[in-house]
Amino acid sequence: MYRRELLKGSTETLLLSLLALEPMYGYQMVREMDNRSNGYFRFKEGTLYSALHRLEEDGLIDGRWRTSASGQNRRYYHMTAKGQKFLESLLEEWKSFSHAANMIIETNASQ
Amino acid sequence: MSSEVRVYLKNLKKSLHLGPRKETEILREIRSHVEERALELQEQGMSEDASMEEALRGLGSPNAIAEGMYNTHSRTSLGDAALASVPHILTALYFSLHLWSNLVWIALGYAAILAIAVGAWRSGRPVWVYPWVGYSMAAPVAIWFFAFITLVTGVWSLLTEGSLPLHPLAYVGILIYIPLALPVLSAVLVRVVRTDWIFASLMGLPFPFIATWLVFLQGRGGILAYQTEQFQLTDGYTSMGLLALAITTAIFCRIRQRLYKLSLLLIAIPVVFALVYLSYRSEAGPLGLILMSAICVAFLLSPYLLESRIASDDEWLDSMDVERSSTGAG
Repeated sequence: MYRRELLKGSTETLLLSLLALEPMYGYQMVREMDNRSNGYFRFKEGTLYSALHRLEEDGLIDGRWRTSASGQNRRYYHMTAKGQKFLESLLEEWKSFSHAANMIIETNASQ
Repeated sequence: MSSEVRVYLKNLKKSLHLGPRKETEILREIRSHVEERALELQEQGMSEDASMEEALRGLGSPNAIAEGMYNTHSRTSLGDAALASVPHILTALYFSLHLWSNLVWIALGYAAILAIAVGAWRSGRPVWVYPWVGYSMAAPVAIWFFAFITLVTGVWSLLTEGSLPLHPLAYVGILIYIPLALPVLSAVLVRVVRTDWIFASLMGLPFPFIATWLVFLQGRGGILAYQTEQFQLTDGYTSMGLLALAITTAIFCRIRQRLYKLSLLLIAIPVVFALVYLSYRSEAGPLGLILMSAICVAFLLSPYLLESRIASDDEWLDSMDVERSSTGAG
């Protein structure tokens, strides 16, 4: 439950961070997220698409259909300049938050 | 495409209510996801049926996806919300300036609304077009009803008195208009309901007001006998009612959740309608007002009943299959 709430709050950051690496399509992002977090982050796949479309509506990413060499039609999401800027501010906030949270958690643990 | 995937996509489409272009894009994306996931599971040794089932299970309920997508895409921009309310404001202006007595002004206003409605309809049907289409349809619908009544009374007069109240050519015109207009009006309505029945309700917002006003006007000598002094007071109330429609429409466009949109229409509009009706018939008691509000609610909900009666169109599913085979993919 707690993990789900944490994931909900950080979905934007995680998705934008993945797209900062390279343009990806939905299923590829599910796999990448799973691989890179050793299975910690498992999206309910259907909700991933709502999140991606929300980011696109906000102009942070841009979806384009492309046909792969195998003939698969996939919608690849690209990071926009606005998305890049937004991600930087999210990461800045994330660092400040985790630093402050760690200071409290570590103090607690050392007692 | 397997039958499970077809059923899943059909259920998803049924709940999306986002217009053909957006819906097709979402369905293509979800379908591509299911096939890729299923293929991966098959490579791991799973059977085709089991892999499809597992891929669909991983996606979750189609209703949950549809709700998320609807909440993301259903909100319109401030500019579009303002555009959607413009025809109500224009009509309110006609009432407050008492321009209804001038047929030239009516023709000009109607032509402008019709031109904008047709133009926007042909260029992708943005959400703001529906109130414009509603006003564009008001005139042909009203003419259709008057023509029908004229025809019935004409036939009755011919049978009982042996003569027609109007020139025979007028009846020829009516006999041509009635069967020609009906399929056109029905086709527009069905297309809107297929996109989303709630847009048909939004489109129909002015109808109870215009119909009640026409009946009121008819009882006082008809539109040609319109006297500014006589109707000044009711024009003010009608104008305020139409401004309330404009505000409701703008809020409707800005709300994301479907339930809130529907609640807004079903609560605000009947109340406004009852108040405007009261201005026409000050003697109307509480029972009469409740009855009029109930008729208004029934009218606003009628597109929902129509949606459930319109046969589901699966052409889009077949076209996805054709598109798939033309790319040569599995």
